[in-house]
Amino acid sequence: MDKPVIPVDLIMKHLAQEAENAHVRAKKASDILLSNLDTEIASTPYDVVYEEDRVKLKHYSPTRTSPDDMKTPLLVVYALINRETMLDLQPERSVVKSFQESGINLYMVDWGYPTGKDKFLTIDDHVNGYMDNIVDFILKREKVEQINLMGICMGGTFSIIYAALHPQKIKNLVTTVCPTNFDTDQGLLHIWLKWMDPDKVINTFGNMPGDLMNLGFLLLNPARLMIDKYVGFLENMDNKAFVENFIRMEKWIFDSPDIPGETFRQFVRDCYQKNLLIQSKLMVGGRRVDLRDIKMPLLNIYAQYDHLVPPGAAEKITSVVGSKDTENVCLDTGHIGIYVSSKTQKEFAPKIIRWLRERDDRYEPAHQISQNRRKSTRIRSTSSMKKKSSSTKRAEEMSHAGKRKLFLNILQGEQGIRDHS
Amino acid sequence: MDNQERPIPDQQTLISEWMKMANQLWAKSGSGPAGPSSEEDAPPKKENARVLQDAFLSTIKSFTAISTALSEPSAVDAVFRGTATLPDITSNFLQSGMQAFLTLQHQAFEKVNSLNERSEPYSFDNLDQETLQSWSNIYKKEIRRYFNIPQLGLNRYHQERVNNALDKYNLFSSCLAEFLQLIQMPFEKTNKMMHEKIETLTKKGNLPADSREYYRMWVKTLEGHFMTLFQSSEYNETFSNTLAALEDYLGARNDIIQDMLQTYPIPTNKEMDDLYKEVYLLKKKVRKLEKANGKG
Repeated sequence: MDKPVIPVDLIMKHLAQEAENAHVRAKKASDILLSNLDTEIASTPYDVVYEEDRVKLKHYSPTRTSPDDMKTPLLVVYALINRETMLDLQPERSVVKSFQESGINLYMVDWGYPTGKDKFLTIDDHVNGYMDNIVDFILKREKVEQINLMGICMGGTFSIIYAALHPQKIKNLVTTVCPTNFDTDQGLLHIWLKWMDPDKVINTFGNMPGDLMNLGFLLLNPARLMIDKYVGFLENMDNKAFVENFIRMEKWIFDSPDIPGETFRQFVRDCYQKNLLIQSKLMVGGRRVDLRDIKMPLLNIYAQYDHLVPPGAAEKITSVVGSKDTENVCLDTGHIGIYVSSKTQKEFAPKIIRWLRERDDRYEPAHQISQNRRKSTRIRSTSSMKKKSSSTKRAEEMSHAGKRKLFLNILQGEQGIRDHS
Repeated sequence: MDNQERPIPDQQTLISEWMKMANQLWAKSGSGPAGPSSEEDAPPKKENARVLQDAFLSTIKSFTAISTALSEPSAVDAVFRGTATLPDITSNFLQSGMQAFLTLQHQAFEKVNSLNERSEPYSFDNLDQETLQSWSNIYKKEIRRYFNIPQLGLNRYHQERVNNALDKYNLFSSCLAEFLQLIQMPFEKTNKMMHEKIETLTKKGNLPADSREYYRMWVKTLEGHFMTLFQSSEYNETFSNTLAALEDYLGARNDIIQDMLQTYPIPTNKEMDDLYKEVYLLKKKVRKLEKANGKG
């Protein structure tokens, strides 16, 4: 007997099966939704050690102490869009926890919720005001001369500006999904913001409303973000762990503080529309941000499928800074997945920890830094964590065995050959 | 028969007669109600009622005077001459509406004709926005000017603000309608494509049995259409115009709220902004001084 053109019997059978599954799922889902769900985010304990206006500084003490611990504290600066709680969304996928467990003395900026009175705050106020005060506070508290600085997204842009204007206070710089080159058409955000009149927006709203930003983000991919995401939820709502994580993500994603008006205006005008930062022409607080002043080691991590900060917007920074020790790492994920996906949890935080640890041994008093940097070997690699080179794998093994110095020599040698060739 | 012999009064005479009768009626009612008419008889606690009554009588007297003047044949003639110009005003006023209607009808016919044209997948080059565009043009060319008629008198300023807000709201609604129409186009195109895909699969005998497979096909096609749309300059222009129109409307609305708030003993946004700015600048100055003195 011939196969029917339309397998009506099979389709009907599947439909019947799905209807039955949906019924069972709905019953189980209702039990789950009515039960006590653990949807708390940012549950890792911390102390607020510094406060200025709406801004707070969170301190996470290392959960272990060993001689291997890093001497230099790490300050994480999050974006003004959404909240830093994303780094601690759930206990088993927490960048904060990973840092703590590796012995990092971690500080994190909480920008709070700007109100009408914050509308006049500029990038200068955030970078040379709040950030500089926070860095000074940590230097004093920890009795060190330099800190490690890690910036996320727009916070990465702030960190780059800070590192260029205050290089003496920063030992190592890490930027993650950080937009620096705005002259790209890879991401819709870059296209849309070129059409926007930020003056009009700010004159109308005062601050840039978080909800309006969120609507814009949802419109970047409505099919996935407004339909498919919730279809996925319906299909998995009989899975308690899935539901809890989904709600955690929903809590985070729609927890959107407004952006101070003047900061937004300058960010859109000078960065997105004029692309001044990457050309070292951006003026902040009356000073030019010269990227060649960034001479400390720079690790730049970005995501291959980032629809907000596409690779074209993130990868160029390492080629324009003054540092001779820079590395680009492209992860096989998206803008948020880089911090929360279970896959990148094994790659993202461990890479930063390793990279910082490798450079922590080189701790030296500030007055010797400029002298020694001139002698340093150029290390510039564009690597992907997806395809680990044999040298990286070897380095990981040796790093665990405490042979970092040997590794560095080998890596520098290999890189030298690659650059030369 | 008498009735037949009586001359038929013309329109002016009829109106004049009616006016006279009306005057008599109002004059009678204006003479006041029966009962206590003198001030001595009226109880003192009804002083307010007396004031109201006086105002009423005065209004009636004015009305009677005006009606008497109007009942003169020369005045009635003038009224008729004035009335004769009414159709001109009405006609001018309606002309814009009629023109708008005809333009729309024309657009509708063109749209019907274009229904048979095939829609290209992943292409938003020839966006069918004519109908909404004509609404928008009609509003901008014909209707909008009525909101810009110069206002007079004590309330001129406030009336202009209200008219401006109404105008901005209409412009925003028109932009929003265009934007929403654009946003729904990927759905329209996706559905059309899905029909074609299913038809092809049916012919080939490859129809998936799993319904989720259809959903996956649909959502993937939809995503593709959205991505194509979002990169088109038409979309970006419409999006940008809608946002600008929203900002204009909110600005105009806030102006009215601002005016209203000024009558209450609470600070307005503008006043708060001035204060915020002052505090901001002062704080900045203090921090700078603190840093300079090594206290920061």
